[in-house]
Amino acid sequence: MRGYGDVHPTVAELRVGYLPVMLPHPITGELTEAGEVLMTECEVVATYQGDDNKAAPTFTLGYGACFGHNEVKAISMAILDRALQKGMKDGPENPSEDPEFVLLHVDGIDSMGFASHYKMPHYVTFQSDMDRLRTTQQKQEANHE
Amino acid sequence: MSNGINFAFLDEYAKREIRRSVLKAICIPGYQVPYSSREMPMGRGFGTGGLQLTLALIGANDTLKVIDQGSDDSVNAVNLRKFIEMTCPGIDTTTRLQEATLIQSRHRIPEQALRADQILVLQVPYPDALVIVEPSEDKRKVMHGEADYSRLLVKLYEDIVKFDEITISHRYPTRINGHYIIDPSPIPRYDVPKLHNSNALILFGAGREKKIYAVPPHCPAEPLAFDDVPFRIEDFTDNHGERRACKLCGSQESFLDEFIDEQGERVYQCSDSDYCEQQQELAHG
Repeated sequence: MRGYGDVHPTVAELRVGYLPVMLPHPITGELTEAGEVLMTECEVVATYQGDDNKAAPTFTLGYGACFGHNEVKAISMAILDRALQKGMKDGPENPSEDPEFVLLHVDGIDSMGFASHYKMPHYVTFQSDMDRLRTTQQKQEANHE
Repeated sequence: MSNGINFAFLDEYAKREIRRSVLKAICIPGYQVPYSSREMPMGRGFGTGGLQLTLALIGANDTLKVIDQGSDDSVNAVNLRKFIEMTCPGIDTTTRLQEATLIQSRHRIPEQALRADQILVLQVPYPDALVIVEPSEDKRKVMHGEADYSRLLVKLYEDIVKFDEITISHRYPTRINGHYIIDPSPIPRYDVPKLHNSNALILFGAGREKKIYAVPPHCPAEPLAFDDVPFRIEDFTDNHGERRACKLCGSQESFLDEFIDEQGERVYQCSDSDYCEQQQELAHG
């Protein structure tokens, strides 16, 4: 969107519903329904992709699924999934196609962790920064004289 | 434990994995060993990497010292120490370097030399020195493997062209045992020479980035520099060319914190509070 992985996907499937939770039975080991959980899932179809090797062009697919009733989240995941697959295939052309960038920065804990770190004291590193700033300023002044 | 929490909080499988990663890190000095950093009951970026190392290494006979910015009383140090005391019954804690067997620190290596029977654990925010020249971890891993640090050297060279000085203040790239270059955690340049041929094992833990690495005892550690532009530590000389002294203990050999006191005067004080107290005790007999 807006030039960073341009797609306007067509929503092929968007569903909200209960899915069974299957667990192995503790005695028989057979899969048994233990309950159900509300899920949203989405599949998108995006613009076709050509191939340098002259293979026939195809549409591309993306899939997203999340707990609860959350359509926008499922659609967003599907778009990102499609972007990441393209990135894996052709190499990332922009951040949304780079798995390292997307997966490490959309995770709630990982994305928040470092912003809260800035609350901690930084006297020592700041003292060290001051040393570099003063030295380079002095050198620049000396050069101008 | 009666309250259902395992000794040192982590389960034994987690401790075992961390210890194996530590062994690998010692065998390949400076190599960043990936590990499955556990979620700790505190935010990532608050020393969770160092904490997991400490928890995996500590035993009931250990005496622990925890410091942040050189001080035992800094909020991060106090909180980590309380947590470790709470989850590790039987351990002792101390503020005196000489009494400690295990030292967890953020941003400083203690002023006084460490002993062979001590382990220093450093908390690491950014484990990879190459991150300033290459954002992709995939590519950085290859560069480390090939000891391809040309882009870091170019960064230093560009600094000299632009500023007539290398502008890296802390987290100074340091080559370990002639191969891997590490980010030695945000210690000042003043502390970097202490990594070289250290008596104690020095371990680095990055919880958020899920990496462990080590500078083993008696291992060469050279800060990156050029033949004609040597590595330099922070300069604490005043306008008259005298080395500034600590306001409290008078030491002219320690790393100093600079601040403005209540009278508006600029004053300097040891950043290592334990060292400063010991110097004062010596002076007063």
